[in-house]
Amino acid sequence: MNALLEQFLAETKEALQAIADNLLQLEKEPANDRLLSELFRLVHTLKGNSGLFDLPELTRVLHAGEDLLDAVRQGQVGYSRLLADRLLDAADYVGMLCDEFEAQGRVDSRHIETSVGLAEALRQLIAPAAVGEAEPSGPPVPRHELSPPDLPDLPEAAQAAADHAARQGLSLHWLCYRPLEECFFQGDDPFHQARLTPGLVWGGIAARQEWPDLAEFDPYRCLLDFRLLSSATLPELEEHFRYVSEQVKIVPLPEEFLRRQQTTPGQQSLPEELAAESSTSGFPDNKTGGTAPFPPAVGDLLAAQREILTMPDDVPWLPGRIKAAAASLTGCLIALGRQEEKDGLETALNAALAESSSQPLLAWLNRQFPLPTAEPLPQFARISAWSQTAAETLSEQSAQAPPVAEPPHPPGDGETKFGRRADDVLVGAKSIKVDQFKIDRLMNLIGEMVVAKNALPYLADRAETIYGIRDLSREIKAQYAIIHRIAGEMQDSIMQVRMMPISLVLQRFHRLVRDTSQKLGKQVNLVLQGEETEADKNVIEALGDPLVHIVRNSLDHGIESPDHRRSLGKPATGTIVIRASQESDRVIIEISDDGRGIDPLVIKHKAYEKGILNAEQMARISDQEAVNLVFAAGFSTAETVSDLSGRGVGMDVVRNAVEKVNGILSLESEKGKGTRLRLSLPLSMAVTNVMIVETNRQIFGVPMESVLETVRVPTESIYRIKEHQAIVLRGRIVPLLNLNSLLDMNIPPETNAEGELAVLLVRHAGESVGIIVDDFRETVEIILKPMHSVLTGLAAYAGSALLGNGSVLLVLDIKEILSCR
Amino acid sequence: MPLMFKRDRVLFTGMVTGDDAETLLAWLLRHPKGKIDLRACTHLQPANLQVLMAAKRPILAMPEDQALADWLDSALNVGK
Amino acid sequence: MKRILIVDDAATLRLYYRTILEGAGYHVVEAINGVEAMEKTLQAPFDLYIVDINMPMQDGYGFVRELRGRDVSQAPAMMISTESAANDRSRAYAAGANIYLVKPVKPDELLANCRLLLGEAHQ
Repeated sequence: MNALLEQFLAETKEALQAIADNLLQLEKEPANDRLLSELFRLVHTLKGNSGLFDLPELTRVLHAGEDLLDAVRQGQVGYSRLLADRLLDAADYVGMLCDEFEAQGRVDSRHIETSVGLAEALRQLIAPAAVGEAEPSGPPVPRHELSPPDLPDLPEAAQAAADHAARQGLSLHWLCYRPLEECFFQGDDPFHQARLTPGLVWGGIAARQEWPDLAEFDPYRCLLDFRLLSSATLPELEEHFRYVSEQVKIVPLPEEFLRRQQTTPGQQSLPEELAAESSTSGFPDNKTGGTAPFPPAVGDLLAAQREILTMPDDVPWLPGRIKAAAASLTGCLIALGRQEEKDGLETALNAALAESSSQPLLAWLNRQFPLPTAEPLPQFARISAWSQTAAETLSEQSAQAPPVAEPPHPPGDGETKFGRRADDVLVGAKSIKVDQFKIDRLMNLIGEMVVAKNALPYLADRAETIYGIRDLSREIKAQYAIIHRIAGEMQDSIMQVRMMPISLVLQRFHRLVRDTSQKLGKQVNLVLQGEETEADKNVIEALGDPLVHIVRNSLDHGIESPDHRRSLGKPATGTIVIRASQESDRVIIEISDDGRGIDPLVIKHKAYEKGILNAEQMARISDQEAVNLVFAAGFSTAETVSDLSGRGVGMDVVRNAVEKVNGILSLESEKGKGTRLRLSLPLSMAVTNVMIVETNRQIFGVPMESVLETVRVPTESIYRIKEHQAIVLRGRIVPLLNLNSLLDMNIPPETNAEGELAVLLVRHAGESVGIIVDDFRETVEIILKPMHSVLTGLAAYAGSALLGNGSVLLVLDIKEILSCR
Repeated sequence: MPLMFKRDRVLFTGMVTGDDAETLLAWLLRHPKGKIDLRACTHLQPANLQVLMAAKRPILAMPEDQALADWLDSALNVGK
Repeated sequence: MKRILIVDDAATLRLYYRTILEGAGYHVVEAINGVEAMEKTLQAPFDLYIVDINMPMQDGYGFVRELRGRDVSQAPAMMISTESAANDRSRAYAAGANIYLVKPVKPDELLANCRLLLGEAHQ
């Protein structure tokens, strides 16, 4: 029941923290649109959430904040210190209200004045002239001057609640609900029904008679009366109790009745009298109601489809839109029990799709549901059990709040307004903090589990081939399928836990860019996008250093000095954009700047000077290839080695760091326009798919991301060019290498029975290369463990893994092997 | 389990259903000193409430769910 | 069991809709923005979409437009906004939403619309 409230409070606190952070950040970069729209979105979301609860004070302030930020966003209002101060005040106030709501389950009405004041202060900034009209919510009711009217015989809480409601100008109804004695057998829960009464101000339960001895007691005979005060209107209440209308008595409480001091007829007598009138005979049978009730929502829904179908047709997604409208109309037909009209709808839909026009469907709609639907809609049968819904109950909580005669809150003006400080601990009740070590341990365990699970197919094979028990083998395989699925799900869940937003690494860049650009005398605006994109913690961590290097490079070599930029007709302030996004199972991070870009000519000459290219290569190399030379080892383009990105460390370090986590780095650049670097990283590095290959009676793993395809090649179709071998595959020459010789084993490869060689096609340095092995085996999921101790130096191997049958699989580092050749 | 029976008390958690009332009644009959803890209760089907009202046992804790607690206040006469 | 996808960046609202819908016996899946919603749709389509407008990454309009444009799902979409402005309503309909509701949506209103859009006879 309180889960919704908990969620609300946790989300609000988190958002408030983010709002405060954003505001502080904005103070430094008032022109940052991203911060501004994020700020707007946060406030907007909070306002939307607050509507679920009866928290008018909160909503009022948030609404004003949203309007103000909208105006700032639209450029109607400039950002100012004053604006930030007021928004921070408002945020503190909202936080304070939430704390109070959390602690007491309600918000004290004394806050109304403050909230009106804050909202007004915010709105003043939008249009200083038009304050007052903007928020016509009326002045706060002076809460402390009226002494509570006396409602004798009602519990104190009910009196207080009634008094409170009446002073807010609400008119009250008194209800007495006497359910049938046998109602429990109908599956009714009258208590639940009572709790969900709209506008509930107070509710109480009483026994109709003395309870018998516990030993003779029948708990399933309902002998309870429910009494309640509600601020809802009579029709609302009748609607709520329409199934049990003859069991409920509703009388309005006249206002003066509440105001009257020392009322003579005790409140108790009124419900008693009502209760006496209520008949307990006969079972309500009004559920059947009238014939073919017509839900009120149908009218809206039909109108909506009509509006959709009259929209201009010139959009590319028109067919989808038409189909969706038809699907919605089909729903309406079925809901109304008019299935027989579905065929006509179908025909109209097909015609509409054929003509690429909404017209045929619209015509159908107007035929079947003529526009002037003037016929009154009979009452819609009750929309059943959303029984656990919290919203109403939650709003009851605050509605029930009795007024507390505390002195008004002193209008504080210090730093610690509303008793909140920056160090207030913000912990969402729904989340827990877990030591990372524990998660890593879970990760390792599930890794072992995956491996252990992989032993089962081997076992099944042995059962069949060695022990000759076929059925057992089959059963093991069936069990394996189940364990495989569960292990997969577990792995997913644990990976989810390890996922973190990229914002964790990106956050530090604001500071970095500001400090570095100042040092260099440049003006740079950093834009971050998609920071909420998530990736595995290891990936996120591996990302930090390369990103710093890339951004420094942009600052240092990319963005020109303000004067230089102006002379080029560029804005004096340069822009660096870091954009993160997710593409299937990879995270993409793009770092682009609008600086000078890379001149392929300069690169070519540099490369020539440094001996990376010879004269012939220099002439042949394309511009794009030249640009990519910045990743070559020992390459640095800086004219003067600067304090920042120089020191002999070039982009090759970045490339290596990225490739270590199976990332791919690419670069595009246009001279004078800017540079764009693109990093593509796996979402998670925990599990690697490898293909097992066999050569010289040993098995090796090859990471699947290196494998392009596998082919079988007849020995005679291999070309020999001097000592090199090659095959022609789909019209292209592919160089061939022998895995045995790559691993320094001087044994010729084996062919299969048809005299074919097994060739593994891999991508290396942008080209396809064939590697001859003896045979291909299955692909497996492994947890790749790095090589340890003395083995670390073996660059040919990316790591090792344990296989299901207990043997160790060495996983080849294809890139390393091919470049060391 | 909406009802958890300890040595000397019964704990109500979450939504307590109509079927639970029978179990509750049986336990209370067997434990004449049994006490009631409603702290974690969010709703109880009224048959249970009738059992509690008839049994008149000590209530160790009212529901944390304030709305429910307010309703039960009048029925169980706690604190007033 | 009918599958409903809730697309909203506000966790509170997601929980609110989920509570109501699961209480009425629907299978509910959540997404925090249009991008995630599209991914989930591509995995397995839904019978109904409940979409917030203002979200990071891709807003509600964009998501519904993509849903219709890529023709991955023709299931009805309910769009829920804080604003009752006619302008937003038209944008929602033009994008391909099938009903536009204004926050906070009452449980009855939400369920009534779900039942209609899903073609379930009410009782």
